[in-house]
Amino acid sequence: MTRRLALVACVALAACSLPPVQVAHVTAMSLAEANHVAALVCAEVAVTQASTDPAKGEATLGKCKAAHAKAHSALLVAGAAIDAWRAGAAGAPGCVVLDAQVAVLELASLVRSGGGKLSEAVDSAIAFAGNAVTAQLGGCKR
Amino acid sequence: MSDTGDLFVKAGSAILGAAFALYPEIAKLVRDAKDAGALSESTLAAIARIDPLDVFADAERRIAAARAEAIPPTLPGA
Repeated sequence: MTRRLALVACVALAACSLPPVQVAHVTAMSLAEANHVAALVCAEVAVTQASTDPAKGEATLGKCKAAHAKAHSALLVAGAAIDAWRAGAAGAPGCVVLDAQVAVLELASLVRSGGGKLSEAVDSAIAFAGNAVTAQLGGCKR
Repeated sequence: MSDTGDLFVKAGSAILGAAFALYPEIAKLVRDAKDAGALSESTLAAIARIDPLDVFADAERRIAAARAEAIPPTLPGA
């Protein structure tokens, strides 16, 4: 019975049986979504600041762009490593996914420090990436 | 795979299953990606599609407008 319930839950989630390489793919996709959403909110924070203090808004927008570009670059590195892993290259991409997670977290922190509100999905993507690296992507030893 | 290796994979899957249960947004993303056939897409391509770099153009335009409004107009001959 318990096993049957677990099976139903897995079918409902459509996720329990993903191979590690697809977990890596999904992790990168969710981090990319989080980075995009956080960038949009960061831009809104900057525009709001600019309505009363244009120089402050411009400075914030510059920080948003830099943090977003850094996370985007880290995501592209992770994406390339995941594609290579899928194609048979040795070594799970734990470290590069972790780098991308940290970079997205930095953007999210910047948004929050400016008073922006982020959806739960952003936090979920960041937290899930940590779980995925530990559980399925070989961790990260440097 | 060795018994120990198999055990690690099983433990990893169990932890990940719990993680999916904790994060329904991720489970939804997986379902949507499966439905759209996006799980077999190149990860690099998926990232470029989901997270384009040019997301700040509108904010730049609005901030430039706010700055223009903040500068008092110069009267001719002033």
